[in-house]
Amino acid sequence: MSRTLFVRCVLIVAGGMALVMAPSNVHAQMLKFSGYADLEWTLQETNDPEDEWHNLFDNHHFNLIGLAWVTDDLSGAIEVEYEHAGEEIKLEYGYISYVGIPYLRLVGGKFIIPFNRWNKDIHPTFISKMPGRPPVYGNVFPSTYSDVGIWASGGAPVGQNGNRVTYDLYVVNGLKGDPDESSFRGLRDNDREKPDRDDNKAVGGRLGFELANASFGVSGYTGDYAKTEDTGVGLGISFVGVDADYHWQGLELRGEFVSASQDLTSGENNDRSGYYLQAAYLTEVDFEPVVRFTAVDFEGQEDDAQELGIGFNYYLSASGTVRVAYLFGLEDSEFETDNDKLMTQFVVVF
Amino acid sequence: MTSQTKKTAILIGFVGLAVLLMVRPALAQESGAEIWGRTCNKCHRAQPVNKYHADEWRAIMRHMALNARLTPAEEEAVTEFLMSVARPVVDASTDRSATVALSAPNRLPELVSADPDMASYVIHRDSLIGAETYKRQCVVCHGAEGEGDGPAAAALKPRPTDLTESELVGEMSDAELLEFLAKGKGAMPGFAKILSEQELKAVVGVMRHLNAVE
Repeated sequence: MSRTLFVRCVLIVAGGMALVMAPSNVHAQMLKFSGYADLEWTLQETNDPEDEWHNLFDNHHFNLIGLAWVTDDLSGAIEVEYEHAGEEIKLEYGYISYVGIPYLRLVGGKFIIPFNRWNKDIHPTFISKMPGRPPVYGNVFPSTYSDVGIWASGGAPVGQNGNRVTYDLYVVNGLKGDPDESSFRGLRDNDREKPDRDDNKAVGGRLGFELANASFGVSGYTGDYAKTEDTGVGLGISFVGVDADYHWQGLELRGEFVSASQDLTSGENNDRSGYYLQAAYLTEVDFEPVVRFTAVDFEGQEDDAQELGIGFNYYLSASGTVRVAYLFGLEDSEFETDNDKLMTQFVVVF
Repeated sequence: MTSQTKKTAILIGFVGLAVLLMVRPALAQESGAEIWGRTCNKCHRAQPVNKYHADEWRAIMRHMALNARLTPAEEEAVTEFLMSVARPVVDASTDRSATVALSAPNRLPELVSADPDMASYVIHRDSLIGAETYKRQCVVCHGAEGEGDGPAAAALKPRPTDLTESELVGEMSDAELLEFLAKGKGAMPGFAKILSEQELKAVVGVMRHLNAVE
C-alpha cells in the first residue's frame, strides 16, 4: 500500500471521528460511526514433510464504517478496510446516494459490485456463516470487488404477500490488468495509479426476485480488461451468475453459481466456473452447525478444486460470534497439494 | 469481449426491463415491523431494535435500505418503526415516554366508530384494536399464537418470550404490563412513541388471552 493512500485513509478516519464527536450541527445530519472486527487463528496443512502444519493469528479485518443521513434525499457511506493487522488498508466503498425518485436509488462513487449475493451482501465476517471465502469467489469471481462508477438500483412489491422484484444496473471503470494474467483477483486494483488502460467502461447488473422465505437472482458483468499491444483490440472479461437462498425459521440454505470467460491474446478464452452450496441451522441455544461445499472447474486444466467445510457458529450475543470450521481440500489425484485447514474466528460488529 | 457474452448481457438486460415494466407497483401494505422482520434477517442476524438511538437508526436504515432495495415507502415504514422503539437518548430516570403515550390520542377511531351497540362496542373495540396492533407490531417476533416463534424470532438474541408460557406475564398486573409495553425492558423495545394508550391497553388484553390459552 502506498504511503499517500495510507495518509488519505488516516485523514478520512480522523475526519469521520471528528464529525462524530462534534456537537450539534453534525447531530442534525445524523452520522453513525460503526464497523466490525475479527480475530482468526488458522491451522493450515502444508506439503513440507518437516513442517506439515502452520498456524497463524490474523487480525483479518478491523473495518470502520461511517454512515451519513444528510437530507431526506441525500446520504453517504464509507468503509475503510483495515486488513491483516494493517498490512492492507483501502476503501471498501465510499459513495454518495440520491433517493428522490420512487423505485430508483442512484449511487455515485466507489461501491461493491452487486454480483450475486456473496460479493456485496454476505461476505463480511459478521454475516458469513463460515470462516474463509468459498473458493469460487477467489478463483472465478474476484471477490470482494468494488469499483468506481454509477449504480442504479431499486425494488418494488409484487402482490400482497411480501413478494418483490429488485434490480441493479451499473457502469464502472472495470477490471483491468495484464493480458493473460492468471489471477482474476489481481485485476481489481484499478485506482488512479493504474489508469483505465482499455478506455472502456464495464457494465453489469442483477435481477432479483424475493418471496416470503426465498429469493433468487441472475447477475451479469462484462467489460474489457486490457487491449492487445499490436492491434489495440479490446480483451474482454465477463461473468454470469445465479444465486438462490431459502429461509425457514432457523434454517438457511444458500447456493451461488458463477461462470467466467476471459479473452486471451492468443485468441483463445480462459473459461472457468464454480459454485457453492451451504446449509446452516440456528438452534434455540444460539448454536449453529454449518456445512458448505464448493467446486471450481478450470476448463481444460487438471487442477480443479473442491472444498468441503464443516463447522459451527456460537453467538455470544447479537454482536459477537465465535466460528469454527474444518475445511477439507478435496484434491484430484494429479494435483497433490495438501491444503486442509482448521479456521477459528471471533467476530464483533459494533 | 465475446459475442456470446454480449448476447448474454443484452438478454439479461431485456428480461430485467420486461419484468420491471410488467410489475404493478404496490404501496407498502406491511407495517415497518413486518418489513423489518421479513427483510433484515435474510442476510444477517437482526440487531436488537433498541441497540441504537433513533438518529443512528435513521443513518443506518438509509444504507441498509439501499442494500435491501427497499422502496422509499418501505424504508420510511421501517425507519419509523425502528426510531420509535429505539434506545431513548434521555436518562431512564427522567424518561416520560410512558406518560406521553398514556395521554396520546387514539389513532384508530375509524375501527370503532360504526358500532351503535355500546355493550358489544367495548368488547369489539378492544379485541379488534388489540388484534390489529398485535398483528402489526408483535407477530413479527412473538408469532401469531404468541409462542415466541415469529418470522424474525430465529435471528434474535435473546429469543422473544413465549407469551403462552410466560409466568411473568401471569404474575404482572395490567398496570405493570402496560408500563412494560410502553417503556420496554432488556431486548424488548418500548412502544410508547408508536402506540396510543388505547392500543397499549388492547395489547395487554391480547397478552392476557394468549397467556391463558392452554
